[in-house]
Amino acid sequence: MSPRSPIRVAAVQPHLELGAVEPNLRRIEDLIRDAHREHQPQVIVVPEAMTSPNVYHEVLRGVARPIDGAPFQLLTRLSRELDCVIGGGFLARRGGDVYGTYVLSEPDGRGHLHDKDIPSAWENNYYRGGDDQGRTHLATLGLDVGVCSGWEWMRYRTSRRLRGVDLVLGGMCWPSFPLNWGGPLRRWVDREHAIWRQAQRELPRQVARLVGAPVAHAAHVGPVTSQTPLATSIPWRTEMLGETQICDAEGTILARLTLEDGEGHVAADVTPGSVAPLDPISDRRFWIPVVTPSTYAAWYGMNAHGRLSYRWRKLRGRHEWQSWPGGDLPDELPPVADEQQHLAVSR
Amino acid sequence: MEQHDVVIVGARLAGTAAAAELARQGRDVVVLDRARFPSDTLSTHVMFGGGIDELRRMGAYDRIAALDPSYMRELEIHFDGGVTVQERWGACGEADWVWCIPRLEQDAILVEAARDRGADVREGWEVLDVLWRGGRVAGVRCRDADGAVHELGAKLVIGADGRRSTISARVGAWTPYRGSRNGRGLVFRYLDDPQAGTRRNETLAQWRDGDSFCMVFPSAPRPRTVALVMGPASDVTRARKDPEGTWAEFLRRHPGFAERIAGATNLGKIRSTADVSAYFRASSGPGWALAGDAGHFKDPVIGNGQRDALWMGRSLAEAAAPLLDDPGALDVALRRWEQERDDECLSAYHFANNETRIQPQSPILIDIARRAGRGRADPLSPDLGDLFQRVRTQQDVLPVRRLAGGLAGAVRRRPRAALRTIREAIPELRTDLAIRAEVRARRFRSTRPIGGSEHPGWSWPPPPARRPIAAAEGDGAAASERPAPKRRRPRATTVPSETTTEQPKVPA
Repeated sequence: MSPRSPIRVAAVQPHLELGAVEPNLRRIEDLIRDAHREHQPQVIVVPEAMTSPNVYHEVLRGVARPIDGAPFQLLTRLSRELDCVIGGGFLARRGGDVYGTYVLSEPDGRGHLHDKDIPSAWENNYYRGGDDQGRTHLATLGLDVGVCSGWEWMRYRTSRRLRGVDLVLGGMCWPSFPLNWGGPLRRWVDREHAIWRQAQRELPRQVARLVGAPVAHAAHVGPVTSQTPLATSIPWRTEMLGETQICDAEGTILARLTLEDGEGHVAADVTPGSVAPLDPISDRRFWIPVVTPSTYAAWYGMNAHGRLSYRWRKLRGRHEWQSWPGGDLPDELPPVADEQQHLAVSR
Repeated sequence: MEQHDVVIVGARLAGTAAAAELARQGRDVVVLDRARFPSDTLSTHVMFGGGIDELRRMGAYDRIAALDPSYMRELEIHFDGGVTVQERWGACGEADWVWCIPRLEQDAILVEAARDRGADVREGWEVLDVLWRGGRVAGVRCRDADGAVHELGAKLVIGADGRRSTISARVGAWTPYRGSRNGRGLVFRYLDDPQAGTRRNETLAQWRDGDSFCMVFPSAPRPRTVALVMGPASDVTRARKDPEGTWAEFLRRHPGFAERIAGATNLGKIRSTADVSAYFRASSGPGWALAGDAGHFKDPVIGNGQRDALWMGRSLAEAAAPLLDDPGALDVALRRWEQERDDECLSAYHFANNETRIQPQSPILIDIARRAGRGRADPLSPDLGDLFQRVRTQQDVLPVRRLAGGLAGAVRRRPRAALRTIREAIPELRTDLAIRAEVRARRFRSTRPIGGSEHPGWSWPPPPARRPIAAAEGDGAAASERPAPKRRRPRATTVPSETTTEQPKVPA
């Protein structure tokens, strides 16, 4: 297919239950099938963390799955069955660590794995960052694509490394500030929540204009209750910010689901292909949106806390996943026959 | 859709062992098998002590003992050059003997034992496909003995359906991630032991002549015996063209073997197979596991397949039974079980790869055997017996110090060939050290081959094609319109053809 021929892309906005990996995967399967039935797309994207909303909570310690486990099987088998490219992310054990891996699966068995480069804040408790470029080639569609997970979308350096791709695909799991905190904190929380909502709303089209390619961005939505880092007895009730969007290379929103829309899926016809980016990439700034002091504090504080916790637990063999055998898959998986699946091995 | 805790595909060793244990733990388990029992399959027949213990656990022991089997209490290995090692089998579990039961009778008893424990064994049922939900195997689509198609839901599907496992194909694990080409073929026949009632009828005997291994396994009911030759795989081709002529040639080439069975009566037809490449398949995934030959197969030259299949079935069931209601924990348990299986089998896999090589016996091994044969220092610690029984690994039985001693002895015994002996020993020692390192490393599904142990050139056929449901339904009647299937009892009149020289199933 020529990079200039339009393709139909669908994006799924799920409302998932914290820690309920298997029910969530069934829900994701239903949403993917429904999106396929309704839109007949060539590409379907679901968010990162499709096994469980990725928030600070002790149940997240049991959410990681083998890289070739049920989430991977779901994506690869549905891709083959529905004859379309399907992408989704989950916490995956790869070798000796857990990563936030986003898998793009093609109908012929090809697979493309991208590990999020920096876990966001509390996420550092549960996994570590990867070092791949997040660029790959979809042979089925003849397209170079870039893959983004979570707050990778927010960083200029991500847009810089994805420049030149025909299409940007990926997902977001963005829980907001604690909406249950009252008293003197109420105003502060409301303000931060509004800023984050705005940032999330603008982000997909900003990335489209910075990269110079259409974007499909799938996001979690709906209420979720987590714990407060370093004060786990204090509940952190909030909501996933939604804003599943499909935009063209100029940043025009072609399809969108907001927080208020709730769970669902949308689709749009986009014309893939790299064009001259409309917006420049800042060499001085790290973040694309405006980042408040609170966000900076959370980013640096929780990153440090999470990384220390992850390393300390690993050193003592206290991560649950350390008790089961690992194995890994390469980032680029070749096509395989119907009766052969990619299964993790130690090379 | 019928819902069950576990569906097991294959009702022989691993399948019935798993079914018996799951049912014992109160789980709702269905076992499906294309065959109707009694049903034969190619096999070395040997059941070492660990396997006999498994029979006891699953409740099949008394019925098999009632078949009047020979109890092989001793092991006798004759090496080239007149060296003979004779050992009494050490206790392995509760048994200090070895059995060799014809599969026709044995497997029917295993099916009955699983039924007695509460498993629903359905004979004549063929699996067509596996069902998926949320990235997990959620059941099977199958065809009953009358041709009607059913869907059975399950929290766990176990493929215990042999080397050509349909389940392995449907879950994407058809092609092994690691394997080794076999050097030896297998040619055997039943006969009535002319030495029945003597001590030789209580001995598992092996002759290592040149490039061939010949064996005699007193079987059941007495005086039935299995005589078996594992020579170069090319023997199988000749045995298929001219069975009796090839057998007569075996007897000429191996006089010790010929002397042992001289005067045998009631000779059965000659059977053979050369399709015995060893392998490891990925054997666990979300909602599925492979047990027995479906997941791992080692060269039959060491006769450990039956013991391992029973162990795999039972240990898999023990790992899975408490966790069937927690899918995430179940998948982790299945993965751990696969690692445990590899720990259990890896050393024996390499041992079998070594034994299947077509070459004269190593002078080092013969020297070690010579020392052992000269007078057993510790009769309570039978080296070769322990090795075959898996009481100790090859690395335990032959530590580096002992190998070095064997090398020194071989050099002393043949000083003119010292350089050649050392030159031949170096790669052997290198391989041995690599195996020790691999066993210690416990790398999950390791794809690093061990040079000198794993023989390249093994090939793998394409997977069985998925059958369309319409074709599978036969006369086309809808499954839902058919009455509930009845359990079938074994048909006592089913007798396998002994004229076959090649069957799809292979030795356990």
